[in-house]
Amino acid sequence: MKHRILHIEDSKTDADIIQRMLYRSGLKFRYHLASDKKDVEKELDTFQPDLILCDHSLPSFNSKMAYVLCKEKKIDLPFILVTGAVSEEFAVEMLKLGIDDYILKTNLQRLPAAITNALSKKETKKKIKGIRSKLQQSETHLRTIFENSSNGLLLIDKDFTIIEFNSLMAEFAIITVGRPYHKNENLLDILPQDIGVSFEEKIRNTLKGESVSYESTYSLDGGNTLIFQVNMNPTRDYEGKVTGACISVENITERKKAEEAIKESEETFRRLFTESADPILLLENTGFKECNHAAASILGYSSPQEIILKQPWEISPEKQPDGRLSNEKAAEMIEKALQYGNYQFEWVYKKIDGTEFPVEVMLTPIILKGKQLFYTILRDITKRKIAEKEIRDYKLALDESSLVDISDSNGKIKYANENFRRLSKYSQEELIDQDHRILNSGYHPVELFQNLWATVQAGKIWRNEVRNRAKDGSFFWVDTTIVPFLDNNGKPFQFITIRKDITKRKNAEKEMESLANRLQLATKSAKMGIWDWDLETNKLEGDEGMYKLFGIATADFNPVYDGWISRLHNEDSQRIASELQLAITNKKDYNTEFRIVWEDSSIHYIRATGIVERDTRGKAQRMIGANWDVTELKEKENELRKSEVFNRSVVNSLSSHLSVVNDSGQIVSINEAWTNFALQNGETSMERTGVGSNYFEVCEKAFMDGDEIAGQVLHGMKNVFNKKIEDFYLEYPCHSPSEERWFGLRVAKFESDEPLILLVHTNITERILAELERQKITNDLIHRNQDLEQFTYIVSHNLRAPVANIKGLSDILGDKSLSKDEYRSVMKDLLYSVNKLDTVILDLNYILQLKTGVSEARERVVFAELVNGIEESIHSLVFSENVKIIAQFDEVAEMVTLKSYLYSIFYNLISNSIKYKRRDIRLVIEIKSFRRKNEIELIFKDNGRGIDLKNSGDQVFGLYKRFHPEIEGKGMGLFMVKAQVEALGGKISIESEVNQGTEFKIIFATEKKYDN
Amino acid sequence: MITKHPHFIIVDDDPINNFITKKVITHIIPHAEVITFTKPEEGLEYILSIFAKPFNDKAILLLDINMPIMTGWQFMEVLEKKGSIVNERLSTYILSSSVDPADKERAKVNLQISDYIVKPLSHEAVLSISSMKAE
Repeated sequence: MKHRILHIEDSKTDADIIQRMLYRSGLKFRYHLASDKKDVEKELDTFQPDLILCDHSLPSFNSKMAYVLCKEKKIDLPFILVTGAVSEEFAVEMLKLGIDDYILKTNLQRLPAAITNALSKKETKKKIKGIRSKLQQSETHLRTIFENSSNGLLLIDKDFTIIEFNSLMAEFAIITVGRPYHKNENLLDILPQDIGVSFEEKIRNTLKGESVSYESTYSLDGGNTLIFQVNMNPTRDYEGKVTGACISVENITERKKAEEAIKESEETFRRLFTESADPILLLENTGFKECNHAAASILGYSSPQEIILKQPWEISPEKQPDGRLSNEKAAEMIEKALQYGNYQFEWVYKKIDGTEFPVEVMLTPIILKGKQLFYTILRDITKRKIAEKEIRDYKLALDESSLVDISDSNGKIKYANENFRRLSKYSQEELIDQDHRILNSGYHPVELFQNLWATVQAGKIWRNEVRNRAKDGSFFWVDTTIVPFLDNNGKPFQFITIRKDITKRKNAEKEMESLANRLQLATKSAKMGIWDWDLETNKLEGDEGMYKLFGIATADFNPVYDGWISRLHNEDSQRIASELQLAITNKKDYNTEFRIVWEDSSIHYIRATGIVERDTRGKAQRMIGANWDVTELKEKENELRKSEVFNRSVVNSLSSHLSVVNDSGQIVSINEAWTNFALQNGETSMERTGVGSNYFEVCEKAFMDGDEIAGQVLHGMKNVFNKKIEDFYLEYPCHSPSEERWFGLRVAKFESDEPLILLVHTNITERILAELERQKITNDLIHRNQDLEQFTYIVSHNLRAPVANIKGLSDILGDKSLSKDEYRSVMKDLLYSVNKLDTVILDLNYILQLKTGVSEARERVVFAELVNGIEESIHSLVFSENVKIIAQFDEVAEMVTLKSYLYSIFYNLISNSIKYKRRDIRLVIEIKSFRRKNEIELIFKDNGRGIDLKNSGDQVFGLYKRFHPEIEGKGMGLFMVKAQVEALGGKISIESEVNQGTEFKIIFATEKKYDN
Repeated sequence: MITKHPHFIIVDDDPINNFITKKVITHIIPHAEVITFTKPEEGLEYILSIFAKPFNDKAILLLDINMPIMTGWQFMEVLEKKGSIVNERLSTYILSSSVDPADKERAKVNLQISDYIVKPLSHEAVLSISSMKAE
């Protein structure tokens, strides 16, 4: 740091000497020179020097004046007098005035040290000033704290002399002493006697170095009491020696009062809790924290203390009534309470004596001092549970026995029990808010329901038997009781309807009634008579019908046994008498026919039946029976016998083969056509299909021998018997060695008393042949149509392609800017396209010819020869490509067909296999023949490249379709194969996998064979 | 307006047709960029490769139906799986020699296919395609 030095000197030479000397001393400084008063004033303001060097005598100015000037300006700078000659007295005077030093110009070597000294003295002075100012500041702060403390503060020394007190302490003094304290007075002198003694002792303890703290009560004159908290602490000097005491007094009257109030309220709540009649517990996660007497008592404990720290499930059975573990369920309930703010649920506790009892728990989570607690109120619901169970039992009994519903005052159904729903077939949803009209069957008059409504509205119970209609339209009878429930005003607010299902009883009643009616009707219309013979009195009474049957007037007839029996035909009376005796002695049922002779001598045929009633010992008591007139029946029987002859001749004249079969399979009747057909088919004496033979067995045997049609017929007959089907019809071929025949067999129910079926077997060969012919024509047409479509397709695709190219190329030829090379190239392409067009047309022609070539003569073709021929024709290729051909024609060696076509098919498939062989393995071609049912199957299998059928399966047999562009080919081969196979009436299919090989399957139908 | 360098992709197994088509296009639009493929799988690979690149210009695809290995329809099926990117960047036209109405109908119902053009490609067709493309 450079010091700023102002030199007041009029001698330039002296100034230079002093300046140079200062530089040489190594002092770092800035230097200004002033030579008169004006200069000095200016430099003091602007240069602001740290130190002044001053010559004594200057023109019109001297060092004293300069120093005074500085003082006047309140500039306190180190001031060093540097002078030549000055009196000792003057120097002393200046030092007294306050200059820091004086140096004689003759002794200048002392100057640097003097400057350094003066500056450091100045620095020290400045520091002391700073410390003093800080001390003052701190004093002020402490004073402020002291004065503003909420405690009264008093400082005394060891002799109890008051040193300091704050204004609050002064106020307290007014209360206790009657006047404020004064500084320097002795505390012991002014304290009142009553508090002085103990106070003095406490202060003395404090002066020994203890901290003393106590509460002091002070009663005021008005009766109020003040409470003070007094703290005494020793004050110490810097060495730690006790110098006095600091007495702090706080008025804690209000705080004490508040604490009292809290304590009181806590006590209130505690008593509310402990003495509450409601069982209350406080639960925290470690178990019950609090428990009142009521809770302990309800749980069977003698003191709440025994429950503290127990978990709820520890005083519960292991499982709750719903089967859940108590501890798991308790955890869930706590979770719910936390979720909903509070939660009410039912719980079962176990008393200390082991008995269980139900409670309703209200669980309220509360947070106390940051802890999660649950305020738990229990309510014993044992009684309620018992009452609930009773009600449930009653309800169960009612629900089990009756149909119950509850409806509101408007008759709208609000509840329907299961019985009701089951019988009415309505669901709860469908019934709710409906009235009982939903069940109205329309059977009862409107008045019944008007009466019902009036009765229950009047608050009375209504009861009646009602027919209701269920949802599905069925009816049911119920014994209905409607009980109105009345409110305080005596008006019904709901109705309970209790119904008992009496449908069975009602139906039985109705059945009885209609039975009686029917019987009456029957006896009347069937010309029937009922008789009742009392075997003890021999009285034989008949109903009205009996009299009619016997042609007797009621009035003049004595109803006894002899009276009736005498009316019988002479030839019959003896027999009937003995038959009646046989019935009475229980040897034979009475069921017979006899003739009676009316008074007009006309003879009537009577059929009779009767039963004997016996007492408990088996003795016959009476006999009841029925007689009816069968005269007409007898006459009709005769007529029937005549008409049967007629029917038979009709049946025999039919060309269909007819037979009637009963439910055990026995043939009961056949017509002539049936017989003739059997004889034609080799039967000699109708041993298989004549009357009496069992047709079921015939069919079953044929079925066992492999005749499926016989099985179907057997099944059909049984189904008609079982009524699974109305009738059964089957057409089947039945070719004889001499001709193709087809038959239709119809099995129909035969209208008759006993279960019978009619078999109608008809020759339908003519119809079938006509149908086959039509089918053939249709197939032919479809085939031709497909050919036509194929032709169209070829024209629009394959013929069009080269034409399009020719057209495009021709247009380019018209371009005059064409170079010679380009022209030549276009011409080349044109020629190529024209040739292609030609090829397509030739191919097309070939294909069309194929279709017409089928008329060639067929001949026997031996497969092995065909394959050998092909192998020879392409011998060099087979040899060079190392082809192995495995031909197996063991199953079928030959077939009758067009040889040229079959040759072409074989040739194409073999050459295809060779063309598309795999390069890495030897080509193996397998050709095999198989006999299938009515078919010959030819398999061509190779291990070549295969075709990806997933992507191009539908195009395999298409014209110009190619799958291996890297190999020469026209895409004609498979197309031709398929066309030729189809021309021969066969089918071809392909299976192939890329790099695995290809298998073609060709199926030809064999010539028709005639089987029995 | 016709964009600076219309980009044509021709996929047809018939090289003569490809020659004709390219000739017709460059006659009408001399600066057109025409790339031809006789193997559909290569054409497909090319198209998928340009889709993979940031590519602002649209391309016009002229696609034949009847091709070995992969028909035009199978070609379209592969492209359809690529979603909207095909519609956004590729205008597809069937260029076929077939005059079979069934083929035309099949192209019509395919929303990815803008039109069905019967070979050979005419001058008018080129104009119509390229102006549609500029829309």
